[in-house]
Amino acid sequence: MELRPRHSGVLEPINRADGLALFDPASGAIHELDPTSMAIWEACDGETTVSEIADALRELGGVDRDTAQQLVQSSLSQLAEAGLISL
Amino acid sequence: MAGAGWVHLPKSDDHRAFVARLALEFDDVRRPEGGSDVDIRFHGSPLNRTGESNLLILGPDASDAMLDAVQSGAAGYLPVTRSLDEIVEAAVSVSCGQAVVPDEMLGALLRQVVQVNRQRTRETELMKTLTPREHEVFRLAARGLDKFGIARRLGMSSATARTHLGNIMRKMDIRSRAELVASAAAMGVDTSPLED
Repeated sequence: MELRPRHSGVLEPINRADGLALFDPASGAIHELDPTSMAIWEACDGETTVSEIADALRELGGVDRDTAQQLVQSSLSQLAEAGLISL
Repeated sequence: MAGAGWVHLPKSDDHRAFVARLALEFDDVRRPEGGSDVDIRFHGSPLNRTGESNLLILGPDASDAMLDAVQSGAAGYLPVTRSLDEIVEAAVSVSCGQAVVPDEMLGALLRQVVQVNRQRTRETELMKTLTPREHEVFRLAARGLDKFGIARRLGMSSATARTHLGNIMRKMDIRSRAELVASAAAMGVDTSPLED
């Protein structure tokens, strides 16, 4: 069964002068994310699979499949660790 | 048409098809001392959307235009509203083999690519339900032939061709010939017009 990560709680993407971030209205915390991690977070809708995200990233970034999968897995692990998604 | 040139940003009202291409191979990028203008010299081949790995496309600030560009093989896309400095930086990046997508548009673009890939997968699965004969009919219909043209090409009656077309559209959940052509194009099937 393919993993379909989804957002944890209600988080608001914000575009700051120094980069992209997620704002947690409940705690007031701001989580700074690099553009790729933000894009991956946005794709975590509970329906899109990890493979679908990796395939799309491969297509967009011009990287090979293994690199895309490693990148997505690494980002998802960090997002989950920060409590921004659930796997 | 190799030779030195200046970055040129044409304008267009065309929302989707407009692209400006530049920066194929830089031979010199320098900034005049004390000046804000950037002197860019580049040379390259005639513009070509397909197969270019170092193509930067400038277009409207819209994710669907960007998706179109990326699917056409562009290595980078930037809205024309960006500053010249940003465009230069992007052009240099793609000339070095890097992909360029504006940070704030990457998420929307990623989701669009997921949707397009999902649709393509679904259509490919549906194609597997067609019989060999229906495949032949599908490919001819994708190239614009009607039931009479298909019948002539495949040596069948127009009624049989119509039946095949009906079966194809039912199996693939297609409602019109235009949708059939769009589906075929999405799957990489040749849709260039065929003379009847």
